Amino acid sequence: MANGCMLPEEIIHSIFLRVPTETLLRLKCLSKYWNRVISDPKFMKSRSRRMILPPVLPLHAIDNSIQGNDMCHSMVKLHCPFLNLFDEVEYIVGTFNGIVLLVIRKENRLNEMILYNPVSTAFKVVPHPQGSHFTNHYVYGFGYGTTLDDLKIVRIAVSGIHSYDIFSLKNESWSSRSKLIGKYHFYHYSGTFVNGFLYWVAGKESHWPLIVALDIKEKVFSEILIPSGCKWRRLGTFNGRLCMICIQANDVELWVMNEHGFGKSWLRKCSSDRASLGGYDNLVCVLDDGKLLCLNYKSQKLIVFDMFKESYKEVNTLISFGELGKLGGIEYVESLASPSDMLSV
Amino acid sequence: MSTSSSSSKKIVLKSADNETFEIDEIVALESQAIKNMIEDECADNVIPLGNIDSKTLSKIIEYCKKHAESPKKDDNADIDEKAVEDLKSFDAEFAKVDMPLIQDILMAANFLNIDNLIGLMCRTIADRIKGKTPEEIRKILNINKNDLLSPEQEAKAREENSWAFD
Repeated sequence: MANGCMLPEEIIHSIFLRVPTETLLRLKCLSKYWNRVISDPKFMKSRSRRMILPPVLPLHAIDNSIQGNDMCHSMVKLHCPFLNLFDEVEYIVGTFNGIVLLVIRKENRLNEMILYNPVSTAFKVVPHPQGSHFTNHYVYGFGYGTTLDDLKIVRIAVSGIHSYDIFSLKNESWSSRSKLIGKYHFYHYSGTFVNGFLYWVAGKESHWPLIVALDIKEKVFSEILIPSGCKWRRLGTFNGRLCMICIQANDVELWVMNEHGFGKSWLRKCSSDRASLGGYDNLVCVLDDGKLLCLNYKSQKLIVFDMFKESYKEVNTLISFGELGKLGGIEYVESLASPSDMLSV
Repeated sequence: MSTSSSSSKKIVLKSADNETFEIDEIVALESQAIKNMIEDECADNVIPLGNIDSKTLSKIIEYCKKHAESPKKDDNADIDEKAVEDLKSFDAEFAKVDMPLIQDILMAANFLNIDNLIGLMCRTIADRIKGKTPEEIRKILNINKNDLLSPEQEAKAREENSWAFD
C-alpha cells in the first residue's frame, strides 16, 4: 500500500493524532508517506494538541490532551537551541499559533526576547528597540488588535520613567519612539491577552490593585476596577473572556468579566472549597477550560485543578522548581509554524 | 454459536472461513455499517463478511456484546460510575492481544464502522509505539520497505527533529 503498511490512511491519521509529539517526529523518518503527512501544517492543525508550559527549568511541556489520571509520562523536556551556557529563561510571556514568546536572561546583558516553536525547536530573536537602556525592568505583553495579522509585542519599562514600546511582527519593527504611561506597579511580568486587549494587574498610588488594559489597535491604556473584597491571584482567559482567580480564606473563586471595560460586569462563575486544592495554592496559570495549574513548593509537585469538580490530577515532574514564581506558565497549541514567518499559517 | 436471550431478533454473521455467528440484533447494531444495512432492509438472514476471518470476528462480537450491554452515555447524564469503570477495564483487557490481531481487528472495525473499537485499537497502537525508536516502530507496524526515505532524506528528518531522538 502507498502508505507503507496494511492500515488504511484514515486509520494511520487517527493513530498519529494520539501519539506524543516526540514519537510523531520519529515517525517522520519511517517512510516517505508518513513524512509527508506529518510535515503538512494542516495535519498538525487537525491534531491541535494542547500543551502546558509549566514554570520548570529547564523548560518542559506537559501534554494536556491526555485522558486519565496518569500524566507522569506526558511531560517532555524541551530542546532550547537558543540558550547559551549562562542563559536562562526568565519569563514565559504568551503564545499564538504554537509559537511561544520567551524572555531570556543573558549574563551581563539586556534580556532577550525569543519567539520559539517547541515542536520544531525553530526560534527567532526579537531585536531590541533603538536606544534601549541597560535595564532589565520590563513588563511584557503579546497580542493583536483586530486580526492576527496585526500581532504585536508590547514592552513596558518600569524603572525610572515608565514608557512602552510596541513591536509589529508584520513590519518586523518597533514603533518609532517610546510612549509614556502612568507610574504603575505591575504584579506580574506578562499580560493576559483577550480580544484585542492586553491586561495586567497593577497598583497606582491609592488604587491597589486595579487592572490596566491596553487597547492594542488604538494604543490607549485604561483602568478597570476589581470587585471589592476580591483577593485576586491571577488573570487568565475562560472561554475567551478575561477571568480572574481569587483565593479567599476558604474558597477558590473564578470571576469572569463579561463586557470589556465594565468593572461592574464581573461575575462570580464558580466557587470551590479551598481545601480541595490540597495545599497546592501556588497558582501558576489559568487554562482556558477553567482548570488551574498550581504548584506546591513543599512537595515539589504540579497539579491541574478542576474547580468545577473540586478535584485535581498530579503531574509527576521529578524536577525541583526552585524560586520559579515569576517565570509564569502558559497553555499553547502545537503547530509547525515558523517563528520567522508565523503570520502566514 | 448462539447467545442466551430468547425473544429478541437474531442476526447471523458469516466469516470469510464460513463460520456462522448468531447474535442479538442489538449487538449487531454496534456496527454502524450493519445498522445501515438493517435500516435499509438490505440485510438478509445471513450477512456474509468475506474479508473478516472467524478469529477476528469472534473478538469483534465479544466487544460489541459487552458494549451493547453497558449503559450508553447519552441515555442518562448520571451514569453509573461502576459501569464506566467496568467497561474501561474490559477495554484494557480486550486490547491485550498481539499486533497482527490488533491490525486485523482494526481493519474489520473500520469496515464494520464501529467507532469506539476503532478508537480503542488506535489508542492501543499509539501506546505501543510511544517512546520507541524508529526501528522498533517499523517492526511493530510491519512497515514495508518500498516507501523508505533515501539515506539523505532520513538524515535530514533526524537532524531537523533531533530533540525527539535524544
